[in-house]
Amino acid sequence: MSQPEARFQRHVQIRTAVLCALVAILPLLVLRKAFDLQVVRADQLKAQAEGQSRRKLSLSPQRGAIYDRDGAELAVSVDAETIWANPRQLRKSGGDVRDAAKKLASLLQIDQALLERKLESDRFFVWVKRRASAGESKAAQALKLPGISVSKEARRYYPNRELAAHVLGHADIDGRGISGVELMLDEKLRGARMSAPVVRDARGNVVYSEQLLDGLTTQGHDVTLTIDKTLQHFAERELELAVRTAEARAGSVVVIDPTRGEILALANYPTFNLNDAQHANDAQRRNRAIVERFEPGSTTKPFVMAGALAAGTVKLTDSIDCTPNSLVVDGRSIRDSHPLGMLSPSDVISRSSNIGISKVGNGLGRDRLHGVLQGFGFGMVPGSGLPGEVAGSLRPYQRWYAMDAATIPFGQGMSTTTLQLAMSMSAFANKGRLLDPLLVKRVVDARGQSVEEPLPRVRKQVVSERVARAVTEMMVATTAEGGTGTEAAIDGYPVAGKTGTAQKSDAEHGGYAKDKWVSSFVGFAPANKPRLTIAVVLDEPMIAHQGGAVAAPVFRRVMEASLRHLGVPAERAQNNAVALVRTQPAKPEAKALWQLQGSEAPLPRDVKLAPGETLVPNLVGRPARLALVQGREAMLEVALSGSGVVSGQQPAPGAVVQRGSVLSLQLSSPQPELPAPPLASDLAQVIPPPAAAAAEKLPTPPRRGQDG
Amino acid sequence: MKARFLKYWVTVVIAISLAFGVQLLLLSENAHMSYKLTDLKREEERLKAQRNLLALEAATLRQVDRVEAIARGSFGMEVPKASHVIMMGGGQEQHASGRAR
Repeated sequence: MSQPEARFQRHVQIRTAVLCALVAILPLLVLRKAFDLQVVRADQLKAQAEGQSRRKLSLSPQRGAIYDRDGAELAVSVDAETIWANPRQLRKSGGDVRDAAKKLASLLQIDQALLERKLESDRFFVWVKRRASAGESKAAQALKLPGISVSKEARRYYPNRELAAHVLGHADIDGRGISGVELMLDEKLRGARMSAPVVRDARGNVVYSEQLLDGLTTQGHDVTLTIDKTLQHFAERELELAVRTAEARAGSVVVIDPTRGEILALANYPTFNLNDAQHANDAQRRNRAIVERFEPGSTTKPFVMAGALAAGTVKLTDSIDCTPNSLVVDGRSIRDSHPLGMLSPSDVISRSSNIGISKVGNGLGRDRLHGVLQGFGFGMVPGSGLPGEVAGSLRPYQRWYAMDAATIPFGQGMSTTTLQLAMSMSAFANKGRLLDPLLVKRVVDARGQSVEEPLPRVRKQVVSERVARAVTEMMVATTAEGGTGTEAAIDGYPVAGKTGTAQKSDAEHGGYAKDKWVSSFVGFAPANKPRLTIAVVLDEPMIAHQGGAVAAPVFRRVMEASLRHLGVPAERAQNNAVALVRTQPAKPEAKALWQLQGSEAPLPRDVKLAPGETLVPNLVGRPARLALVQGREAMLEVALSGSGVVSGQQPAPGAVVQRGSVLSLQLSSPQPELPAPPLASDLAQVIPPPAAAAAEKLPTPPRRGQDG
Repeated sequence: MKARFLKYWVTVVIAISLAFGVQLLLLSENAHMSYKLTDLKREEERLKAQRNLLALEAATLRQVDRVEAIARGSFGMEVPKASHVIMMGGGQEQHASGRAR
């Protein structure tokens, strides 16, 4: 090898070695750097990276919905467009404030001067219009004004407008509860305002966030109330009608499930539209059923009687002397509306004797009278949880005057609220047990997990079941013939209830006003298996003022519609025994005639029916549907067996039975069709036509030709 | 010796490069999926908002007084008399009428 070649080779070897060294060192450097970045400074760099890409995003919660007991929406939140401005950005971008204000004001129908002042301010954020319509927000965006933006904001809607307005209450524009359930459960409904870490890219777009993907974390809880939308509608409809008809100042109705204490409806009149709550006046917003105290009047009597029966100071067989028609106490007299004479305890309730119940209260004694009224919840807050709920007044018996002790048994000198009265009455329907009212049936979080599910709670066993039943029977007599509450009676359902008519106190002159009354009725039905308790209170009715005349019809209409809606069968459907009173013997000649004619037997026309009786119609030969209708029209409960047309019935046609008795109808297939009626030509062969017959009788005319 | 070293070395370099490439690919895919997930989330929220609006509209249409007014006014319906109501089922409590849910 020559010297140059050797030098060249050596040069290549050096270069190769250097290259190898470089190839070996560079990855080592890379690895070293990688180790430094990934291991040594990993935490520090990670924090730096997150600081650059991660941002906190404020999540505004969506307010939970409110439903009725069957899941119908009563209050919901939906997204609405809100237009806002960044005045600094507007000016910085060279925007004309006056021009922008003019354009926006005319578009959004808002005050231009006010908007101009806002846009001239040195702020980063001002509202332009909150909860704008979709059209308005689109038009505002189309203006392409710098610094004007549109964002979403939740808005509260009440799809049923006035329905249950006082129960639901309303939330303000910022989603804070102001009254009713919206305020009572504000914390649960509102949800949590929180910020979530999100990863943003270089353009600021959100790349990823675990919490954003789980948007349920911030959402408010949904609340299901015990309110029944349909029953609430019945209560509101009938209450409004009654207030307008009786020209009353106001009124309230409360419907309770007495066995669970659930408030099914709570209506007040006047009322207001929840979607326009800011324009409602105080009178409309007032939840009278829970905040307005009134003297209960005679509706107190059953509670006093229950206390007396429980204490043994009155027996069902006692007679109470209500003569003369005036009882003087402390120089003042207590009167009944008319002389009632000697009354049984049941009559004292059904005929609403002030003197009688005053004597019963006197026999009970002040301490026990106070105790029993307090036991039924008088003078205490019912406990529905609604904001502003008040207790009625029941002063300690040590502070009663002699007149108080005599008048409190018939509801003067104490006060209550409609809800409290309904809850107290429910104790009779619930075997003597007083329950706490329930308004919230369930609270569930956004994932559907139950957060709260209140159960019925017995506050106290006030009286025994036996006493409760006895007083219930007395109250059933109130709605029967001769009672003061006959207007509350419902066909097919036994109703237990009590009327109340109380004078209002005269704030100006003291004592009681002569022309201002509170009329009330409280009761439950069906009395033997209570489903609903309803309390009706009308304030200052002008047309009439007796509770039995003004409030009882409202009770009847609400109760009847509600029982039908709930599918509660009428009493007569449960009575399977036929109460046959007497049978009208068919006259022999009439019977023979029916058999001869093969038609339905005419019913005797000279039957005198006593109240509650009815005449059994003849339904033989009727199709099932027609028989059902005619049976019901005769106030009978029809029981069908078989199919086809009615072939037999029990009791027999013409029998006089109690209304609601069961009429058993045996159905069978219709008889084979009779042969088709003969044709006219066939008839002509059997029965000669009148003309032919007449011709037979006439002498045969002489034939032509024979004569001549 | 050198050739073997070089071969190993190139293999290691290629493997590291591949791993780096795969990691880049995974990162890119991850970012892509995250964008997609966020878009789907937005779509879900839009659909939820739409559902809420429709539920509100349905609830408004189901107002009891509105239904009653239509039943009475448009269809000439009226509340039947008690004698016209026949409870089927012999004393058993019936389901409530008019329940939407």
